Parts: sequence; structure tokens; C-alpha cells
Amino acid sequence: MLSLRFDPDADLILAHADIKGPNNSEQVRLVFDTGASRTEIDSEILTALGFSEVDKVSDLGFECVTGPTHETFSVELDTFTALGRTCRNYEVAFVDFSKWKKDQIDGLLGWDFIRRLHYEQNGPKGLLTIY
Amino acid sequence: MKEKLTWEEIEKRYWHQWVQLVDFDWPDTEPWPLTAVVRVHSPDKREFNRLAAKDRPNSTARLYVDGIAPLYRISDEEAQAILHGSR
Repeated sequence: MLSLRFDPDADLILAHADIKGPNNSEQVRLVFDTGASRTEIDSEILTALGFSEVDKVSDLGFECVTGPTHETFSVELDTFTALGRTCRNYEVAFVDFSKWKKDQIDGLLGWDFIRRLHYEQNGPKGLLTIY
Repeated sequence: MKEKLTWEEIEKRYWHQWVQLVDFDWPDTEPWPLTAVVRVHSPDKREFNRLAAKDRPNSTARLYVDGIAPLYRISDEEAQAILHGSR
């Protein structure tokens, strides 16, 4: 069992993730987001780790209620570690976050990762327990 | 060589800035690193990304210094104390 603390008064739950690409590794700050179907990482960070469109695994299209579909692609990280779990050859979306106003984050920890967890969240107490 | 700073010093010097950290001591039981060297910093994310990518070391951490704590590990005893209202 892993007990994790978060700020119950903050607008978002933030999580750190260690991501490793062909050249380097980086620790990034992601939003714990069950509403995002995929884990998304800022394209500028992935570029710095050595990824480009040459490394594309699949094409992606993100639909948003307030705007047009955003076309992008996914790349495969060597490893992705968050909330005490490490996934190898982990596919993430290559997304430009530069136009997002709330840009003090590096991406989204999406449902594709969160769904693997057996967890319990106590919002008022700021506790996330992973079994 | 840049100096190693405590988190309190980093917050004081780089509040509301992006920082790229190297040589950091960051146990998963802490929301922030205990100590780290700030390699590059900027309040502007685009400028920060440009600086951070230049001659980038193999292993770094990046974060925005805004006091919002990310998830961090606590002991089962601490969790029980929070759940039962003693903390």
C-alpha cells in the first residue's frame, strides 16, 4: 500500500513523473487527470529528450468542446515512472502546451495510466491510497 | 560551479519561476527537494525551455516554484492519523 498526500485546497492534484527518452531523463510535473484519456507530455520537453516525429508510434487526434480537433502523434518513452509504478516502453502523446494559459505544468497524467491503479481518494483529507 | 541550495533558498530566490535542477536530493517522502543546484531559471516557460535544452545534462528535474505541493509519500501511520482527525 502506498499513501500519498496532496493539497486538498489546490485546484489540481499534481504528480511527479520520471520520464526517460533516447538521450536523457527528466522529472516533470503532471496533472492527475482522470478526464484525459491519454497521458500527454509537453512537446518541447519530449524534443529535449531526443524525440521527434521520426519516432512516431501512431497518429492521434484530440477533440475539444471549445475548439477544433488537435492533430498530433504519440512516441514511446523508454521508461515512465509515476506514483510508485514504472512502465517500460510507455506511449505518451506529443502535445504542444505552449498555448495553454495554465501552463505551470508539463503535461497530464491520463486515464491510460491511472486505470492501472487500485486506488482510493479522500478529497477533503487530501489523501490518495494506492493498493 | 553553481552552489547547492536548500528548498527554502530556492523558493526565496526563484519564486514564480521555472527552475531546472541538477544534483538534487529529493526523497519521495518530500514534496520538494531537500537540496539542489539550480542550473537555469526563468519566469517565462518558452525562454526556460530554450535555456534548459542547451547543453542539457543527462538527468534533471524541472518545476515551477509556486508552493503547490505535488503528491508525496507519507507513512501508513501518518495516513491513519490524517484519516482519524488527529492531524
